[in-house]
Amino acid sequence: MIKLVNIHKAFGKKIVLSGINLEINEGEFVCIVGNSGAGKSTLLNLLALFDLPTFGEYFLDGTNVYKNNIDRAKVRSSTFGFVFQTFHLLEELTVAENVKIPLIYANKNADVETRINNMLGKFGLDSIINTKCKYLSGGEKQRVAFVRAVINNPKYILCDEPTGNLDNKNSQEIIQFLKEEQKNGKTIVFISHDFKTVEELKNEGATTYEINAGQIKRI
Amino acid sequence: MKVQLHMKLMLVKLKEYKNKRNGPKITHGMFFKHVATSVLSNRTRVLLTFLGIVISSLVFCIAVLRFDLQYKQLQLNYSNYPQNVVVAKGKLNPVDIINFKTNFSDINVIVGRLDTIGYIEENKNLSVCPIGVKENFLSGYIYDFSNNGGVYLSSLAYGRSFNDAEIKGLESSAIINKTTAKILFGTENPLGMLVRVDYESATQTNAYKIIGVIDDSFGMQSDYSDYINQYKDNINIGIYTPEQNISNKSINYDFSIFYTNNLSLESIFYNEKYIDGEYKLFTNSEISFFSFKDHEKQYNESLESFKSSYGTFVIVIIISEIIALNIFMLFSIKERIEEIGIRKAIGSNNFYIMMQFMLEYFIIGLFGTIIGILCANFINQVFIVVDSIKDAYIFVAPSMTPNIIVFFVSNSIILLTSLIPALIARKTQITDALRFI
Ligand SMILES: Nc1ncnc2c1ncn2[C@@H]1O[C@H](COP(=O)(O)OP(=O)(O)OP(=O)(O)O)[C@@H](O)[C@H]1O
Ligand SMILES: [Mg+2]
Repeated sequence: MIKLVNIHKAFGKKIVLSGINLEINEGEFVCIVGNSGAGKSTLLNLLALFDLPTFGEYFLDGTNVYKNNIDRAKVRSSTFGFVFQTFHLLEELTVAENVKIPLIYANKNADVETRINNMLGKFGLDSIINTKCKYLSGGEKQRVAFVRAVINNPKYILCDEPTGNLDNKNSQEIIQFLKEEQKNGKTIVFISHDFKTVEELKNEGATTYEINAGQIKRI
Repeated sequence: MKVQLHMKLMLVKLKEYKNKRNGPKITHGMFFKHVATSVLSNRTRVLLTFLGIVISSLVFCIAVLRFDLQYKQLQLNYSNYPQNVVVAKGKLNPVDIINFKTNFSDINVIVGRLDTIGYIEENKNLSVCPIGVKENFLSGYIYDFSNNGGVYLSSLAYGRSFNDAEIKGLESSAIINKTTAKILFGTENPLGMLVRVDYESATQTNAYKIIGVIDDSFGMQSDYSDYINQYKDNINIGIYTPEQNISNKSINYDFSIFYTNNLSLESIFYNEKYIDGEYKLFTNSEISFFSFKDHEKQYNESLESFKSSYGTFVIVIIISEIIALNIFMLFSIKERIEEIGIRKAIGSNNFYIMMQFMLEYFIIGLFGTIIGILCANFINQVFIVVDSIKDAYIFVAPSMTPNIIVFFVSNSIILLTSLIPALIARKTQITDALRFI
């Protein structure tokens, strides 16, 4: 479970988040929507432990993240999976190599190859396993990124506009993947600026929030 | 309210600083895999860095190799150098040389200009070292003419050199060159004949018995002929007859005559003072003496100046290597910033990121310097061959020491330099790295 208490985030004099309180339960599909510049990515960066808030508290599965000296890199590697709008793959490496990196950092050595092959097969990427990522299409890239996010079997999948650079078909596909992961018991945090998509997800049972003026509210 | 908020923000920031995370737990396998993927994903940059290191260590190595060779050559020159030396910067005549010999009994070598007479006292093991055109005697060579029977810089063709009595002027004798002998006497070998020198005053005995003949060519310096020409207009030599019936022969050939008078051994050839109308001994100010101490001092000074000038050169190379590497690394870190962000995001800790850079550059540096050093040695060999074709003076064999020095210095530099991008990479924030790409 993720719990944010009174999170503030300021960049210099600019206060982007002012008092965010949010609870995300296990197995939940959470959508956060907001206009551009509202602070969605800022919030996600805090959730992902990419960044620290100016103040506030963050409980991750009951642990106070900021008070206790936790190994943030380890949490990122084992507890979270990330999907970004701009994929953020290592372009010079092949699909398989990219997918392997989280396993390296999580120090998982057993059956690495089969695991990678199975996962890539599951997402229809078998034919491009040894292709460098710079040659892939956007949809393929995002699928690779998705595999990379889930290969360590993380508890939480955090997505910052994962469909932002994809066409409709590919977007639907990614959302479908996320829903399946939710069914497998994972917690999804999905960020979008597209109110329509969020509306649809809400109708399918997602918990939805809107960020506005530094505050978050349930919609 | 707002001020309060910002105060609170600052306090939290301070706390954050104290909240350092735990140290990483590293397994070797993990780490090397991490570096391997990093090298793979940066092939071009790795290759360019590699080339950069090859080139800089090559230049560095060549400089050090040349330094080593020349330094050793300098030492060799000195070690060949006899210990007790007189260096005469002015022109010498035999009188001076004999004076040196009297004043400095342990002197066994005289170093002088090429156009200086080197009178060699056969029995006293006196050698002459002409300096040549260079003022610095260090660049000269030592020739031991005493083996040639030793009159001046030329060897005796007939007869003998002066003996003690002749040098002291007790007997009047002369040594002339072959051409002079032929012209005056019609033979190369007029030993025992008398020769006269007509600039002498009538009161002086000016008949000299020929005791030796030397080869014409001094063979050492091209501007001798000019020097000779100066004398042609001022002197006459001829056959001496008891009736003072002087048979003059005008001098239109290269001549040498060394003769003794009742004062001391004299040389017309080198007696510049005569041109001014009188003869007198050289004064001390015209001749500089270098004792062994001076020699040692000069040796040390030369070594020091050599070291410092070459040292400066090497330091300049090292500094430019550091700057070049740094520019290259900073450039590559900017390019790699997204990668750093991605890696941190998916679980790499800061230590890995830091070590990634250091290990990567260490490996590249290792191979780069080895290849650079190999190339440098090859080029150095080419230099040596070219030098020997040009008749240069490198006689010492290259050694391993410069290579070892360059290897360690270069790799230390690379490791130290890689700290900068490594620290930058360590500090790079994921949000910054991923935002601006
Ligand atoms: N490092 C930073 N320094 C200064 N300002 C920042 C920084 N990061 C974010 N901001 C500001 O914070 C605000 C929120 O940014 P954020 O990226 O969270 O918006 P967003 O809701 O994700 O927008 P979008 O939908 O366009 O991605 C923006 O006005 C941005 O300019
Ligand atoms: Mg955003």
